[in-house]
Amino acid sequence: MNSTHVLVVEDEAPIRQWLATTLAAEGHEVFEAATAREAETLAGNRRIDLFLLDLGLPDGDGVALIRRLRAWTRRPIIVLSARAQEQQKVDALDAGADDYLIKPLGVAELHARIRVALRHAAQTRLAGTSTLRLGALTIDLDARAVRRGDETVRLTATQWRLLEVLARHAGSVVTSQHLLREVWGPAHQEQGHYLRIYVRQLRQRLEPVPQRPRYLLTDTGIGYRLLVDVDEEVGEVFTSV
Amino acid sequence: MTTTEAPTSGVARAAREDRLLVWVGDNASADALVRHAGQWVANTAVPWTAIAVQTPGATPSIEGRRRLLRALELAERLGAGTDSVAADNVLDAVVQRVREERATMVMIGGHPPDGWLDEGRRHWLGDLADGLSKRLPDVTVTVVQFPASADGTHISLSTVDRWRLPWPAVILTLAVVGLCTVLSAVLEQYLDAGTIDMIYLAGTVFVALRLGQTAAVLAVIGSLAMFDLLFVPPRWSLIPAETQSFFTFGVMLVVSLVVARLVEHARLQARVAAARARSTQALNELARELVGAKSERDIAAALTAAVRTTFGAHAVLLLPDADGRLQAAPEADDAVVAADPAAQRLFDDGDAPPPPGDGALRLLLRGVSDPLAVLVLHEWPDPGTEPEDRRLLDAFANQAALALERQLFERRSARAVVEAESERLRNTLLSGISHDLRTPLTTIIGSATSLREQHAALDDARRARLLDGIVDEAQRMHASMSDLLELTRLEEGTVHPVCEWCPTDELVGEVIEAFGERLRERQVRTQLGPETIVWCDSRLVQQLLFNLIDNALRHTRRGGTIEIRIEAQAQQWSLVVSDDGSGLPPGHEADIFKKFFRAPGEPAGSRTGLGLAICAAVARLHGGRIEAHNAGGARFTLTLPQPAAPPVPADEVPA
Repeated sequence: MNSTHVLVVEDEAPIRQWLATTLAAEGHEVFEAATAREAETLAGNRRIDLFLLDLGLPDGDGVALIRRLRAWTRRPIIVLSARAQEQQKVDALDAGADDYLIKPLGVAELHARIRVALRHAAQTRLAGTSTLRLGALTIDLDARAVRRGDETVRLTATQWRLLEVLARHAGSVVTSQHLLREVWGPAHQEQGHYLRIYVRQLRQRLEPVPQRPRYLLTDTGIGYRLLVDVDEEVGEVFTSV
Repeated sequence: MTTTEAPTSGVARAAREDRLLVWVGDNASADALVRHAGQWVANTAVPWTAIAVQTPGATPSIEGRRRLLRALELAERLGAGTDSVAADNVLDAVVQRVREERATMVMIGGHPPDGWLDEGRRHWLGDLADGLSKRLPDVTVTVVQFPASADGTHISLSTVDRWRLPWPAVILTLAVVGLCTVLSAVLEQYLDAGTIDMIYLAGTVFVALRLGQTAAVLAVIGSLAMFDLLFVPPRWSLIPAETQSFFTFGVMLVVSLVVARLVEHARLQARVAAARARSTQALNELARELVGAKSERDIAAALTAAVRTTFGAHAVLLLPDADGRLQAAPEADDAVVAADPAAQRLFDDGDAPPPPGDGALRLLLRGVSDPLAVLVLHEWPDPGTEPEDRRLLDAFANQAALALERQLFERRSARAVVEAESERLRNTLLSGISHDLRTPLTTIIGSATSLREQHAALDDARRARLLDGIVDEAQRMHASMSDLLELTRLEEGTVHPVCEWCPTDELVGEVIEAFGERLRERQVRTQLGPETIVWCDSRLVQQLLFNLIDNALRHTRRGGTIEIRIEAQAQQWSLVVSDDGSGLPPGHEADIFKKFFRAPGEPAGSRTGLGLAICAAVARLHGGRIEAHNAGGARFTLTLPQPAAPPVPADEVPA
């Protein structure tokens, strides 16, 4: 793979420097921006493969920047956010961010998330990848079927709709609100327990050990994500709270 | 001893234990008398009391009553205790009061006895002074003489009223006499003259009972005339043959006058007793209301209601706002009460004469040091008001003032407590935070500078150890910061739990997953109930559970057991986390939920003292509670309320 172009948007210089250092060490080419304006200029002039974006920028709302970027690019956006700001994370994800990282963070987690995001982006770019693999399971979005080996896993209509939304955003966090809206319609956005119950049912169908999910993961207070073709390292990282 | 002094005369020397009693009559100089007494008292600092006396039959004139009221008000303003008493006569009342109060001086006063009392009672004031001197030999009696003023010719109606007889009473009296005569005529042939007297006596006593002494006298005269005319020979002549009948009618007159007097007295007593009972009851009711009053609004409501029910008068309590501007209590009926400058003046200056023609009565409610409020009564029925009513109103106002002041003190002391508490909390927080941050920082700075300065001298293993130390301690600082931030958010009320029905296995499973390797060396047993769902904010409860498990982890040895149990009931559910570790410090089962609490002898842990405080905050936010006990280790029980069973989406047939 060519070196990946990563745009780091972060107003705190020490953090920006550290991110630049560690990303460069991992073989990425790093562009740095301290403000939303710089970020947009750079994004417009360079080929950027992935955005690493701090939400608290001096000259503007990070969520608004995500919306503007999403108007013209499908490249993965990973948000950097403080722990306590759940709503900010949800807003960023709803605006089109793919994932979020909570500051402070370690390098292992940082690089793992970047790898997942890049792989997911590459996968959706490849033509005809409507088939996802979850260990022994295969999800065929065109045929609307889930198979374990040759055996078909039977799902109800609602279970399938839920899995489908998660699969279309595979690797990304999908907020609970988004899932409720997509699966049950706008009238049921308050029925959080519907979602929990169906996620449970899906886990019982899909996961090898439903009590310890490896593919259909919960982001407490935020939403859910479907990890496809997970490797060991990534699995470890995602289980930490 | 009796002295007579002019109002301008010199001041008598008063000893320490002196006490002055002033009798205020309903005459034109009542005001002047009180003023004089006040002046005298101001120079001697003698405690004093001013009393008015209500005597049977003597219903004071409206003008007199008003004057009396004003005089008593003035006396109160000048620092006197005031009272209005009911008694047979002024002399008895004053004597009794002097004895009760152990007064050493009595002051009475009035105009010179020329024309201010009716002719028959010309020397009445002098008689009163004489009577007082005789019965209270140790007391100095002072009669203050005032020069006759323009209204000195005013004749007190009290003595006139007493003998007045309205026309219906005259007719009724004559009718009774007539009836007695008819009865006597019928019975004459069976009875002798002496017995017929008795019929007239009965009639006269009846009149005395019902219509008072004037009517009784009238009845006696009428009876005498009829009896003499009809039954005493020679008939049809008023010249009596026997002196015996004169004697009979003399007795009759005495008896009926005594009866009338007794009845009148009893009636007055009953009226006074009823009024007293009413006052006491009204006061008690108000006191009860005020004890239950939680706010100034409650106090205002109770007071105005009491005034309305007792006096039928509409009252508004004006309370000062933060700037000292008087405002009507919010629940006042007339929502917009125009600013009351007179009340404001009264409130600001403490004493302001009522504006003329206003007709409203304004009472200043005073606390120990500050004015508290102003009670405004529109249409206070002043002319018809007894001094007793006014005293009752004052008692109401005093009760309310006490309640207002209590409220004020409570608020002040509550504020002081809160301030002290928050100050203490701030100090605890600061020392806790600085400890929790400085410890890891010491390691981080130390290790990092070692790596920089001693790089060459360190082998790989040592370098790795220093680096691990830096990472671990930084993580610990992060945990401290997160806990502190989270606790602050939970406690300042910006976090509202977003409750949902959560499957218990998911709730607990995710937290156990989050511990990963750290729980490998403990036996974790869960007992969650199949398909149980519970009502909570999963993020908050998971954080709570995380902290409880983390706590258990730190207080159990390797291979120890941690048990997590969830039980759902109809109205609540509970989460129990128990371990077989060292248990809780005895006697500190409740303290462990306090911020930065460390049991005596407990080593500074790897985590802050905030974890359990967060648990307590989470429980509180959910409207539930968390408790800790020792049960072969530590046992934490979280109990949260929950609504009725949730709607479950209809299950579908797999496609």
